[in-house]
Amino acid sequence: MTKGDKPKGKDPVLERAFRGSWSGYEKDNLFYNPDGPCPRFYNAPYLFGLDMEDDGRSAVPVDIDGDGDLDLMCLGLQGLRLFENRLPPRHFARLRLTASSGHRLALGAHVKVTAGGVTQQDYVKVTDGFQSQLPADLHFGLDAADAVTAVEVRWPTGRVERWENLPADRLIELDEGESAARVSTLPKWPEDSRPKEALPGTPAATATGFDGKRGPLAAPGRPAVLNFWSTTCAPCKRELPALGVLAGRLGPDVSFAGVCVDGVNLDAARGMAEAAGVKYPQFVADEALMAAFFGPGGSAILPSTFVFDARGRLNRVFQREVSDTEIRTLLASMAGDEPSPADLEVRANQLMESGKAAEAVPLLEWSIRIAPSRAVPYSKLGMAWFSLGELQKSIAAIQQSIQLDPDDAYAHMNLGAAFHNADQLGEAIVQYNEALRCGGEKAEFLVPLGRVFAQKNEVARAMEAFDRAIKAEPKSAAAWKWKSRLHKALGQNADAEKCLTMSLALNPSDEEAREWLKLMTGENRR
Amino acid sequence: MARHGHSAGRLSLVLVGIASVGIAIAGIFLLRAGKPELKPGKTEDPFLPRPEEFVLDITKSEETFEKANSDVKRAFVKGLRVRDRAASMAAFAPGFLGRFPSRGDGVVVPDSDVVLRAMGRQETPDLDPAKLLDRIEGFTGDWTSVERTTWRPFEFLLHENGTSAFATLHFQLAGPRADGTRAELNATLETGLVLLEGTWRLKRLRFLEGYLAEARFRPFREVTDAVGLHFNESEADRKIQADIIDSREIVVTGGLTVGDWNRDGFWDVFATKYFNQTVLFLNDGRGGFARESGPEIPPEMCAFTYLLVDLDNDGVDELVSGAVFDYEGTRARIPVYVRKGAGWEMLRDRLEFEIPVGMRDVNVQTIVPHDIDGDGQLDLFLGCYKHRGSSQSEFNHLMAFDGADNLLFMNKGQLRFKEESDARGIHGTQYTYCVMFWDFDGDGDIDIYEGNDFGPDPLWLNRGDGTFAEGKGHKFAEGSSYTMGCTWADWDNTGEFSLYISNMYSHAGNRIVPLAAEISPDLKSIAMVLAQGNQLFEFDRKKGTWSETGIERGVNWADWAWACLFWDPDNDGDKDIFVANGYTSNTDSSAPDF
Repeated sequence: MTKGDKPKGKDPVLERAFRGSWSGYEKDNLFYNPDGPCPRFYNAPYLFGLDMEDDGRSAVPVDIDGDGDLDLMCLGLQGLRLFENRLPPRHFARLRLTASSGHRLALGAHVKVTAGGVTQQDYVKVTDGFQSQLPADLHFGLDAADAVTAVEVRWPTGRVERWENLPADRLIELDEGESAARVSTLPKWPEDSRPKEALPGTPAATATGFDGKRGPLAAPGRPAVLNFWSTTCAPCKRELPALGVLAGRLGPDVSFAGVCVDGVNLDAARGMAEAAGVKYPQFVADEALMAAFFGPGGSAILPSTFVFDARGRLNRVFQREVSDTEIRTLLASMAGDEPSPADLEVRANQLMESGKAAEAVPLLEWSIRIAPSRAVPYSKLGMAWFSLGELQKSIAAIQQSIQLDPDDAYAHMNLGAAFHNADQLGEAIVQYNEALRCGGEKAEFLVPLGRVFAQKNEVARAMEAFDRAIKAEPKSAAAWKWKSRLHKALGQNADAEKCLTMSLALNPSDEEAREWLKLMTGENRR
Repeated sequence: MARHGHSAGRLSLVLVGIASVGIAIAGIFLLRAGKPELKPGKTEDPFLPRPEEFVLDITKSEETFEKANSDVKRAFVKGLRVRDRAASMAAFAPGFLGRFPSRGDGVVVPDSDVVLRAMGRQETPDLDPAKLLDRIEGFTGDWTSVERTTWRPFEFLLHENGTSAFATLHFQLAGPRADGTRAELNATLETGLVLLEGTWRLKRLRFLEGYLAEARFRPFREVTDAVGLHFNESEADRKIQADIIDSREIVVTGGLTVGDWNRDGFWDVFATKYFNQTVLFLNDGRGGFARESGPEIPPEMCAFTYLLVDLDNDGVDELVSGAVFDYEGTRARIPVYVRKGAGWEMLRDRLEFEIPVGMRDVNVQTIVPHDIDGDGQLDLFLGCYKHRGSSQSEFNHLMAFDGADNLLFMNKGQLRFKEESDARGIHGTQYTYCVMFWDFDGDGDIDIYEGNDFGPDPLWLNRGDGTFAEGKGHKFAEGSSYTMGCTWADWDNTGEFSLYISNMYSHAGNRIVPLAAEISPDLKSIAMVLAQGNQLFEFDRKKGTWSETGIERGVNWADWAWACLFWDPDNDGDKDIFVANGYTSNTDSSAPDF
């Protein structure tokens, strides 16, 4: 018999060594429901600006800015995205329910809203779609109706209540058993803080400095903070000293630059910067620069501070006075240089499946350095060393994994395989039995156990292991195959042929078994 | 070390084909050519007859498809996109004839936001190439550019002579107009193709149905960068993640938990990346988000999903994690984070449950709260996908039952829970992605819908006492689906709620499943349903029956779909549907798509 099984791998049918997309760059969908009875939807994501190409996963409709329409927040493989709803304003009702009996969140409460002669319904929930929690508030678009005729709520207890003549465009809080609704205005982002669309301005944009030299606002390769200010802006004056101190404290790791938008009186601008103790470079805004950062027309809300990451990608815009804490927190979030251990492991797995175990080893060792208390990377490292023929290193790594997680059946199975290949058969038997203890009666543990016994010429035990495997999983092709080998070794040719035929029926793509069967049939015929 | 049996493997490949695109998968088939299984179309239209006999060898058919599609896209479609009429003209075979509507054809669909004109298959004069292009340009002429082109065949029938073919496809042109609004033309086309001097060309083109949509509004705008909504991974992590995606490995990444964390009236976001990081983005009420520390969660304990709800009725929300950890013998635990002073404390032992010995990596995809027993305390249903031992040998892509056991934690008060899924009749180990609570049978108590990958979506009907029985035979549970997301609404104010689920539409699957001669008609029919994508289930109160209407409502084709949502973005009082999609996009957008 040959040596032990390989460590557990991935389904080769799905395994792909080549790189490329898989249903990549698919555009998200917006199935539009036109006015009136709708015999069908019309997919029009481009029309709405929602035909995003990210590998989408989660999505939450939520009124982030409090302006009465639903914005859309998405999370996909490429990261987070927020789409601000800029559609023409229409009336709406926002309902917040509080139950007095049962749980106060009133999950499952069934709500009917009548406005403008139309009755809509919805229910209170906090999850929807895929891996997403959304606000429990209910949002109803009311079209042209500027008032809510009636709201009917069937509470989770079955009690039904009705409220009439409520205003539109408000947050309406309805408490179970309270006939009066509480009505308030939604908290809203100030109009002048509405977020900007992505514009071409980056730290590489050039301008003329206070020193008269023209150059880029900031050096590449490090985070940058660009502060737009003017001599007549009071909040600019307030925030400048803190920015100056912060820039000094962070040193060369972060580029700071100021852009004075009313640089006509250069002396006044210089004086203000000096008085604030600001030592980082200052520039004078010109038309092109203003257009790059504020769009055509270039009118700025002051102060405005743009924060970029080290790749020059915009990370946040503050169209208001900013605190040094806000900037510091943001910059700190960009400062990490470690990858996530899980990502290292996933990548290591891919490399191992592509036959590149040597490249996987340093990634797994890196993962262990970051999170040394986890068993999984040790176990995978053991598999990598096994693939490279370094059996003692493999054994040591898997043993480490088992020390951290003694009940991991597959770690025991893999350790058994490593011992088996190192001809430490006694240890291999112990580990396969441990795998059985932790993972239950499975063919994948019993078949290699039987093979070790066979190798030790403990025929009865070997046969018992194969029979147990077949009893546990009658469709295990491997169990039938190795039972056949044992029969063959014992000269029981008819049984061997029977078992191998069964194995091949279960797994017709096993070319090795097919070859054996051919030889065996020939021999038996002779 | 192939683990698939022959027939199971073949079926798996068909199903993988549904989930993939292109010759890489089709090339695995080794099917013989034979008699066609498809009946000739009813229309005996001499303009463009559907072939009665065609190649059933999937490898040959798909290889030819790749070449033919590439030739037509490179000339005709590219020409439309860059407005190079000569390039488009090169795509036509001598004697080409087309039938395509004019811009004013069809009927206006009344709507106040979108100018919609629906066009069916209509008798138009036979058009030569120049006149066909004139008609298409009639739709796009007032656009400042053509930003989007789609040409995606979902049926390809290759004549046995190998030099002519028939294809049905999705076609789209979209572009902006000078006033900042947008327009798009979507259609289903039939084409006849011929191979001439090594290049496939269009011999016939017929518009089957479609619509022109022109917005009266400016679209949503993306403000991610301005509001500061970034994970800010390290550069090392970004590179490794790009490598992982480029090698087409990642399935899911993590979820969004939107709630009002600091009770200031603005919605905040707790975003998670599985096994990587969690970030709390606090809405600052002034144009963006501030990064704040939520509970300290090390990378290895970052879950796919979190739930923020008040579990002990003290008016303060707890955070429930979806990370299963602390495996010990036959027990495993899930943390709950509670507020302690200004910070958070992790309670390790509140959500504890039994697992088979040795089970690891139980993978929770959704946590849905509901007060099931009416005691005023929220119980938790955890939809679980798989564990380390799942999807191993003999994995059945059609009906997989080796996923993870779902969990139902009943709230016993004082933040103590007891797992009672089996005791309450909820059983099975499928690959659950989404869960929904509603009184589906209208008997006054709450039922549970379970959306599963690789199998049926069971409905658990409440017996009236908080225990559940499987609603066997219900329309939702019919057949198999690759359900990733689910949403429930009365979308057209008819008084009835509908269920919409996201599955996986596949152009490749639609092309190759009908050709797969060696799988049984039953399996083929299930595979075809899978390939046809998302499903909409509607209730007919008069008949008292549910029916599946995704195709007739035009909401089935949404590619490899994940989140799906009924919502009303334009506040017009009826609900539209958003669907997020895509599996993995290589960082090089020109890399092949499999």
